[in-house]
Amino acid sequence: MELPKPDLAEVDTLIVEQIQQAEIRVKQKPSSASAWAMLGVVYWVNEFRDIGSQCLNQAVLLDPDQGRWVYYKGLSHLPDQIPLALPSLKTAADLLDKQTFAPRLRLANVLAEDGQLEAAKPHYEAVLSHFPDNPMAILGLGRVAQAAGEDNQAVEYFEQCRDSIHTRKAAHVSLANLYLRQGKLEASEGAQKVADTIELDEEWMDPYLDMVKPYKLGKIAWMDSAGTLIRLGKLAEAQPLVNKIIQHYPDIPKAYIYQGKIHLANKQYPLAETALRKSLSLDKDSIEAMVQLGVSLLWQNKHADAIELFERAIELSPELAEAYYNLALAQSSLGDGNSAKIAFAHTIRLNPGIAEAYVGLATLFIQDNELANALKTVRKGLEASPEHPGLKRLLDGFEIQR
Amino acid sequence: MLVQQPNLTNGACLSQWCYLFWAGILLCLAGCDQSNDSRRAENDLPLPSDASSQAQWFTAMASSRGLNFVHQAGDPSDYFMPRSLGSGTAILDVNQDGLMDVFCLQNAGPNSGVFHTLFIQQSDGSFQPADASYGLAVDGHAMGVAAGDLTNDGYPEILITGYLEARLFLNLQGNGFREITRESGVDNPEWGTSATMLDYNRDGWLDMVIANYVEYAPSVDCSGSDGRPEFCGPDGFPSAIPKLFRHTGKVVDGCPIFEDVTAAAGLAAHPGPGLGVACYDFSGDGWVDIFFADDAKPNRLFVNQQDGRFAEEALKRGIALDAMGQTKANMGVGVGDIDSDGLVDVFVTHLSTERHTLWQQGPAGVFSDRTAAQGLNQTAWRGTGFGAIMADFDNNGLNDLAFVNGDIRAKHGERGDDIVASSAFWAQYAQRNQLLSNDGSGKLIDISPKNEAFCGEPGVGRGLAVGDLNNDGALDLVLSQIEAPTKVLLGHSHAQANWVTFRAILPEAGGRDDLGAEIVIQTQSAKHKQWLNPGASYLCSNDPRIHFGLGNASADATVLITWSDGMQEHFGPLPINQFHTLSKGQGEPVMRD
Repeated sequence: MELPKPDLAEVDTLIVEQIQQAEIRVKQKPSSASAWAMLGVVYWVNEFRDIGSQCLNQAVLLDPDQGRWVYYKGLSHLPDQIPLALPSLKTAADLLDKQTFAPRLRLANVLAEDGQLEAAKPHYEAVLSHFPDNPMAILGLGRVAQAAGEDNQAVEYFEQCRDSIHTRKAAHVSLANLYLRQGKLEASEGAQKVADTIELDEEWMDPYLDMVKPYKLGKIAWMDSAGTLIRLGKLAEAQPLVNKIIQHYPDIPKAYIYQGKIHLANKQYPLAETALRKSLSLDKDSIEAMVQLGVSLLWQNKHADAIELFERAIELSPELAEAYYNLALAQSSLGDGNSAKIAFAHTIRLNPGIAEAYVGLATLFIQDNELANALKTVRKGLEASPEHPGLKRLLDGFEIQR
Repeated sequence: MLVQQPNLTNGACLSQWCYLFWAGILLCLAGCDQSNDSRRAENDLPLPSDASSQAQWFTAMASSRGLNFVHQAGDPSDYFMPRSLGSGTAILDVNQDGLMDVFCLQNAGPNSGVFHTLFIQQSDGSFQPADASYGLAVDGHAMGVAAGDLTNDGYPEILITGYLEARLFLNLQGNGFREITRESGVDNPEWGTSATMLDYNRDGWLDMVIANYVEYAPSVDCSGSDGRPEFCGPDGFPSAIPKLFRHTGKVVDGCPIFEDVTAAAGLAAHPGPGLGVACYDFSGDGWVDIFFADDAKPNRLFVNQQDGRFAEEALKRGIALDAMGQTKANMGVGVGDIDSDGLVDVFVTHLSTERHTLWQQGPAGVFSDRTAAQGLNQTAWRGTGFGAIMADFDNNGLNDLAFVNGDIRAKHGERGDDIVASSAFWAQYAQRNQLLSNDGSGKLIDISPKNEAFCGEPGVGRGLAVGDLNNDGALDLVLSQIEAPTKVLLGHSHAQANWVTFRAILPEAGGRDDLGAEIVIQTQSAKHKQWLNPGASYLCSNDPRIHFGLGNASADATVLITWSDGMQEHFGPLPINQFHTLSKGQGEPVMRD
């Protein structure tokens, strides 16, 4: 096979450099399966899937007994080329079964996700034959049973895996559905309540996939990862990645927003302000930077500057309830209750679910002795959030007065 | 966005909010029947004569019929996200002449001078665009449309959703429209997508629900995996809150007055990036519920608590996630009874890299993903699906599926010349539509390759509306595409394919269609059930009549209707292959246990 020659003109230089290094290895050892595999991985994980598959295929031809290369070749066809992926995933599972459950579990999940549930079943069972307590395989068998209408069997499986950090939420959601189907309303409610308390199940570890993650380079990949980590609240993990992004790509405005958010969460408000000002200097129309910078200023009691930012954000994105809300906070802090009332009212108009906005508005009404308006606001807020403690406290205050 | 609330210093009262947030026996009276013989004769489609054309279920309506509309989305070079989601279409009878009219939306933006167009069907089956004096020639980034009679005078009003607005238009009894957004109390300063009408509190007045998408920030630039500029997806923007507007029962100077009860009804507590909405009884208690298809988030099902409030129960009822517990990019919603068990099933379209999902109901109120069992993963090709219709297109007594495709990510340089989209830009997003036939054995068979008219040409499909435009008993489709002509596909008559179509009206409410009514018909060989709500699909409003395909049934049909307030009546036997109007109070009441 000749070395592929894709157009790399617009590709991130870090990725290009990595490709070039991998090519050097192939040129030095053209019959080396691992050299071709490395080149294939580099292409595949950086979104050159077809070329990656071709290189990985070359690696498999050179060393058909190396399960890793076969596995990567299969993975390179996912998520949409399932018929192409399946033979490689099956071969990889056969080759690697005794070392790890990952390829067999991946194969089973791909089959199940493609609707081939009966075909998936023996693979889940095979995982359990080597790794008897594997919660993901048990969950998979539960889903196969549920799809086949074998509800009792499915419940048994889901109950077995409902305590694993990798399957807790999924198992409880399925149990809530199955209990409801069986007429066990209380059990269904209970399972649903547990599921509601779990944000997300932890991803299971695939050692082979973990090995290739470092090869996914460049600003898009890193920014995606950083964004995901921040969304999941994994700020400690996000911080070094964000620092790395800024080091390599000092002109990405969003990277400084990420940095600012991390500093805000760590209550490092001056640092947050610096990062967010940098972001705004790179993208003067960034609403997110404006709002976050405004929040960092609020925490530092720089209310007037914060107001200016929130007003600019509202001008650019007039439906942004959070900007109105923060504007109201800043205005009330400066004693401009009338403006704050208007901003709180806008917040409620845009997002009637923000209970704090009702609290803020009602409080301002109380301060101005507009008690009827305050009571009306509290009642309206309680319609939206009947259990909100701040609103309940305010209502209690009215009742005591009465 | 991660927003923290700082401590406030001016007064003890304010310190309490210093914590994080965001964190029948009687046929309708003589004259009600619209025997369609004369209209059928006007169907200018030849019956299929050879094997290849017999396979086709639809034929494109000739442009000479006058329904010529080209959608415009403005200059896409700014990658302004609302342009990428398209606009919908409504099939409705604005002047109550028994002929369906078609209302097409534009998305070129405010002050663009690119106006929506209402096409009024004439007695000869042609369509005439209404002129500006008709009151609907407005512009904007319009997306969704809902139609229904909000004043109980028999004439449907029109609600248009769009980017940062919703606009309500009062039907002046078939003589045009007048905008009443402000005076009616409708205020939706959000990115509205699909919308529909329902009477959730059974007070005899139609309420309105709007799916809102995300809190979009136009200044955010997005790129595809290749680094080139691309339309943003919903990730990274906060989910929006839907809106529920309760009809107060007041009509002042002809204007219906609404109250925003989103929060009080319990919807504000569950924001989501809503694209599709459907209002049916999904819980089996006879009360209408609200289902939102959410882009890249679990779907939401608001179950009517019968006291003005809703409880979100999608996860528990099995319709939030697919069988693998995964969240998909949920977009268009097709609703109907796919397996003829008398329960509403739900089909939702997704991205081409995902599988569309069919959730079947059973037992009542509980859903399960039956996509694989129904053969939906064995299609000839895959696409990113938007508008979806579950209906009996070949009148064999079984509901089929039609859905339109159009990508959300450009395929640079991979497209040929056979592109419907008028600009090279949108051609990069073009895909082919799909049509699946229900074979009656529990499988949906992909017949797309044999249906060139609907599935042959790639386009950037978004809206898909269904109705019987030519009153021939075969369902027709209206397909909206970004920056391309709206396509009207006329359904063919099929041999051994009988049908019957009903209007279900409320005389006490000015003769308006009873959204939420459920009709069960019994022929000599089979029982069929359908529900009346013109909402669903994606951004569209459908023909408000209830259509049944009856296959080779030959005798009359008896009808059991459950009106939206729970009252039941029998009608019939009624002759088939006709249109009937079921008028509440004119049937034989059914005593319930």
